[in-house]
Amino acid sequence: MSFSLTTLMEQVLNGLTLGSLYALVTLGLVLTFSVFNVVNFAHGDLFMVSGYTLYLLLNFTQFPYWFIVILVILLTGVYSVIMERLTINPILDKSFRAHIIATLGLSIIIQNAAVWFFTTDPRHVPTIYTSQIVTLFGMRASVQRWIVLAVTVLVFIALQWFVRYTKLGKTMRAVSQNQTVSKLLGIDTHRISIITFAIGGAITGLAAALVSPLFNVYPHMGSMLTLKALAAIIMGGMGQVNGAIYASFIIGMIESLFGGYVSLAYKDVAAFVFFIAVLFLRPNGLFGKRIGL
Amino acid sequence: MNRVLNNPLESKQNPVFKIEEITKRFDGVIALDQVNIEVKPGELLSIIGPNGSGKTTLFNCITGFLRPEEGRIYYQEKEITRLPPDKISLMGIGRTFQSVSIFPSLTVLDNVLVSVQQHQEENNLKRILHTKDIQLLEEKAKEMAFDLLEKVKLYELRNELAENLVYGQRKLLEFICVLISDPKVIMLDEPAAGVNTSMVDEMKKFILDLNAEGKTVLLVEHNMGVVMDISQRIIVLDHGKKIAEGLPEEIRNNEQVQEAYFGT
Amino acid sequence: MKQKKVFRITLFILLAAFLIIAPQVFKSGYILNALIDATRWTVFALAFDLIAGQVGQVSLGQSVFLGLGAYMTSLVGSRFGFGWFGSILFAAVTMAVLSLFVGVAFFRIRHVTFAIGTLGFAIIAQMVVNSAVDITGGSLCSLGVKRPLLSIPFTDIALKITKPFQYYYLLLPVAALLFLLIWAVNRSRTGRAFIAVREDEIRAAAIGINPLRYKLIAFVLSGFVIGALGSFQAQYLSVVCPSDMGLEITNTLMIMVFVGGVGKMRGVIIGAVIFSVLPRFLEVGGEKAIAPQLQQMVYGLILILVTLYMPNGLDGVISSLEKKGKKSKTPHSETVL
Repeated sequence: MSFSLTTLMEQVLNGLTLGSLYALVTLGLVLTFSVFNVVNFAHGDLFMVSGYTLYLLLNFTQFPYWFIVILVILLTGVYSVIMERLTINPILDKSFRAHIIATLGLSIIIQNAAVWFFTTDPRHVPTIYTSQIVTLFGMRASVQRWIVLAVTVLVFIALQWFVRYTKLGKTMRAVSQNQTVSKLLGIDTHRISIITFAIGGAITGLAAALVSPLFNVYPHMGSMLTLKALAAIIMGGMGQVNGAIYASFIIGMIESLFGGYVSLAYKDVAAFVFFIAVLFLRPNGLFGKRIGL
Repeated sequence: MNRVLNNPLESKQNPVFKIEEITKRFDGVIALDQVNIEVKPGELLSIIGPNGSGKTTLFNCITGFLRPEEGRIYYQEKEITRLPPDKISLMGIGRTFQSVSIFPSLTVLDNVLVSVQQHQEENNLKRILHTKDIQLLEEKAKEMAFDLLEKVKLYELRNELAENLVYGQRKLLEFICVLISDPKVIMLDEPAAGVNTSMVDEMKKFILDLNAEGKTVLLVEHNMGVVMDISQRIIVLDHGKKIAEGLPEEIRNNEQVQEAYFGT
Repeated sequence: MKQKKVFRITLFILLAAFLIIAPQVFKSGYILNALIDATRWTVFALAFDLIAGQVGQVSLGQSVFLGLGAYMTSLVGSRFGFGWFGSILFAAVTMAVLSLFVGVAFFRIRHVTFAIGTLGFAIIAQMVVNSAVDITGGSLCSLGVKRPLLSIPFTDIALKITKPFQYYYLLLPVAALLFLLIWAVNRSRTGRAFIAVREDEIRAAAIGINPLRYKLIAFVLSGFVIGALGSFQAQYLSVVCPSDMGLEITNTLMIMVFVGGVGKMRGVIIGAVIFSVLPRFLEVGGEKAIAPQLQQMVYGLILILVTLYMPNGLDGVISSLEKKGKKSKTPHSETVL
């Protein structure tokens, strides 16, 4: 492959898009993880269900795309809360092993249900914006891509503001510092749990509604997404929201560049090898501080 | 040097521990600030100080669970600063933990046995083949375990799971788990915390007996009654710094110490 | 105590006798295949439990050692004429070595992160095997595993293994050896150190146990056993596919171990037998009576229900029944404390 600036720009843009996808998925997961310390192995499957919801709404309703996006966001928030009520909440007090098994069980159920209803064939979910090409900053890309990039930045800023300056955000931070003490202080951790999952779900829904038109939707896509989001969380330094976001973009960029210049088939392998390297060299994350014990 | 000293304190022998200028930070907060300590063989030394003064951090640095950023720690003239905790334990340094720690799903007896096995041998192939010498060592370990269990009145409960013990029993179990490997140094992190007065007296007696047998004892304790009663020497930490060192009565009358505890 | 021991030994002998004479009683290939499955899944689940149950870290990557063990046999053992037993040994040793490297990498992290890391390892390994079409045949699978040839020393007589009962007798001694290995480890001082590491790594280190070393011992042992099983599977099915190291395998392992009773050999054996035989009853004339997706969904549901309502699995249920039978003594005798 010959090296040219245009292809490089293309790969970088592609990397940014992938990074945005991973960042949004990671954001939903890291929220629930940092607040309640429960790792949800079914989080990627939530994205998948959300993607199919978009597929159904686009194909079987006449609503405009922006309205469908809002519907998907709301519905995914609801899915997430249902998931929280039925599986996550009952296991909050149990061991890490219970968290793994129960949420993996949930993931198995959701994935196989998706295979049952939709078969394993990947579905395209194009919107009117996927084929409109616009040149911005010297880079040519579809409107859909530009929307994704812009919205990711907006969500990221909004969340920073929410966590720092709203009462609810501050409460969530308090719970994440210490659940027991928060309970003693009279914070209703059940309510916070529901709200956290609703927000996490809504962000995931937003991600699915905007990003799935660029890629395909298929039943087993969730495992890979969960894995990458979890890898980003670990690389970002367990539970540090900003670190996880940066790590998501790094993963997206590695995949895109490796896929474009070395081997498309092994792009996920490259990202994973990078993850292992981080585990070896910086077990507390790329940006984390070393803490004893 | 016109004090009346107990025997171990006069000892001209090399110190058991020589802690030189160790500093430990957590997230920029200094937990230990250039602390120097010498522990003499056979002495009963208490380390006291207000909450967060760095006592447990000091224990964790000595036993290898934390690595100090600066300074060195010597045990019998050998540097142990960067050794892992299991190696340090096998050198004959036993310790208990502030939050009582036992293995809940092992039986009481197995808790004791597992605490001595690594000190006896570590030959995993022989263990799996269950060879004669392993069987003999296990028998020997059992005998010692039974003696200790009798001593703390846990013998009858030896086949219970440790999770079924009440708090005081757990504390005693952890205590004899340290003793069974016959360590040269015993480091106890708040042995009198959370137990009733009759057991505090029992604990005091156990500790004094051990010391009388020639073991070096390091004690972190909040209960001043216990500390003043049994310590031969006391070191006071405050905000990671050593602020005083001396005999119990000296510490009692030390203004700086009183300020650290009750002052501003 | 003694009575219990006698009971155990009797049970063990009866079970062994049953396993040995079973093919003489049941002639049907259907039942024999079920027996073969039950046997190899039992050993597989026990190997998984060495990590999940004994040292207490959930590895979601053990299916990789089964698949790669099978590929070792189809790509190396068969091609270079290692013979059936040589192939099994080769797969076991190579997988033990691979386990060592994987373990050194992933035991830098613990608990949830360890599970995530090993899950990633499994997904990526399967992806590599799928993509390396030149070597593995990719999704078209690796064919041409030789049927085991049992030659009798000093004669020209050689027996080609093709029938289920022959495979069964080939598997039984190998499985028995692997089972004894795991059993001997778990009941030894090494096994006691495993539990110490599982319950409290910090305290384990304080009594001289190096937690990493014991986790590695368990992990390498697990890899060894699973590699051997992978090699047997390759020779038994005479084809190796990327799906042989798929996540469904891990799902099945988890359900066997966690429903049976994690960390308890008795429970794991019960779980493995139930969930290796049960799906066969759901087949009618070789056709699955229910969709495989539905089966997986039921498995997922069971996993959730078990964590919520039966944390110690079937073994815990049996134990509490036993206790009731014995009229439990109160553990907290009122002592002076």
